[in-house]
Amino acid sequence: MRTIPSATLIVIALLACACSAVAQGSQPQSSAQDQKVIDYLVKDWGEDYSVTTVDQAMKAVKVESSEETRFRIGSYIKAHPELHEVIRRWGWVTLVLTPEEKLIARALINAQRDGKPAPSLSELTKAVGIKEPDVKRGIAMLTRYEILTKDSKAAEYTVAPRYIKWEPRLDFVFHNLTLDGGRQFSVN
Amino acid sequence: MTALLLVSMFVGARAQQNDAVPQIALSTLEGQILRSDDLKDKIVVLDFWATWCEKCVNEIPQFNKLEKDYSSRGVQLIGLAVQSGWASDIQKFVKEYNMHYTVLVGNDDTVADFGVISFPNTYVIAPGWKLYKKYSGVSENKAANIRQDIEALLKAKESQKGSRQ
Repeated sequence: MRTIPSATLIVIALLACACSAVAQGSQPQSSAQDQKVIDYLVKDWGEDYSVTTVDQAMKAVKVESSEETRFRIGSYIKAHPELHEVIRRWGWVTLVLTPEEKLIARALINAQRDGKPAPSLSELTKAVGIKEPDVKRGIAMLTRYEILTKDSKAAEYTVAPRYIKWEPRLDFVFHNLTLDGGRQFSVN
Repeated sequence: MTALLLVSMFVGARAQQNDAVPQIALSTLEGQILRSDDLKDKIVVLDFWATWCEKCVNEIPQFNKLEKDYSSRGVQLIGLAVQSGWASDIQKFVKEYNMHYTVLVGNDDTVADFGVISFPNTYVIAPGWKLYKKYSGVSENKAANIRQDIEALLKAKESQKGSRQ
């Protein structure tokens, strides 16, 4: 069976463990800057049919790009679907994951659903059209959100059963729009 | 969390006596874990609701009344809050809506396990944690029908007790 190399898996697993407290439902402390992004999203969602994503909002409010910040804000949105109908309608994954992370997840889901071996890093690199470090980053993020779990015996990642059944669908990628004023958002 | 959850406009009741109900082990707002095993001797009315679901909120007074009328007779009313944030977020609404019955904090797994695709969604559960009836959506007669279900289950429980003696 082709698997993601074990050294890579160990690094990713360490990252995942470090964040498991957050993913398991404890309440991560959000900063004033996180709140700014969340407030922007709540105000922006639904305007002009927008399905604005976390990374778009971070750019809009000029928050420095960081996986950690994106994860913190994403975790908050995951835990708070009551904030806006857009979260409930499209699912938190649509708003929180990047298009690349969605493609990685889709490749892993499809393989698992079809009973095929998990795609290797190089296969994912080709399938998604991004570099290997970005695939590793994407896998790490999907693990932090508990979409992927690592099977320690098989040294392989498995997709949480709910996502295999598309609950929720995590491959919605919408058109991106940029208005004259510079506002960017995805639209369904 | 599950996307595309809808608020149901219509009610549909489905009787599936003796169907198993997914097991639960969920936190109350006070942080205690309530398990389905703890409820196996009771008649349970389990209502899936969300703080933002107006139709669910409208039903709360009727559930309060059921709780008042039946809690002393081994009936447990539970409002299972999903898609509503953390316990601290839900607590505010419980106070605002004056809910008198137990509220549990649900999660994505609960929604998936029960196959909830709309709100409100109410389960009448017989002793032994067996599904007696499921109500999807709202209707004028829902509370009255649940009351009838409870009475029927109480009667069955009483007659079972009698036949054992």
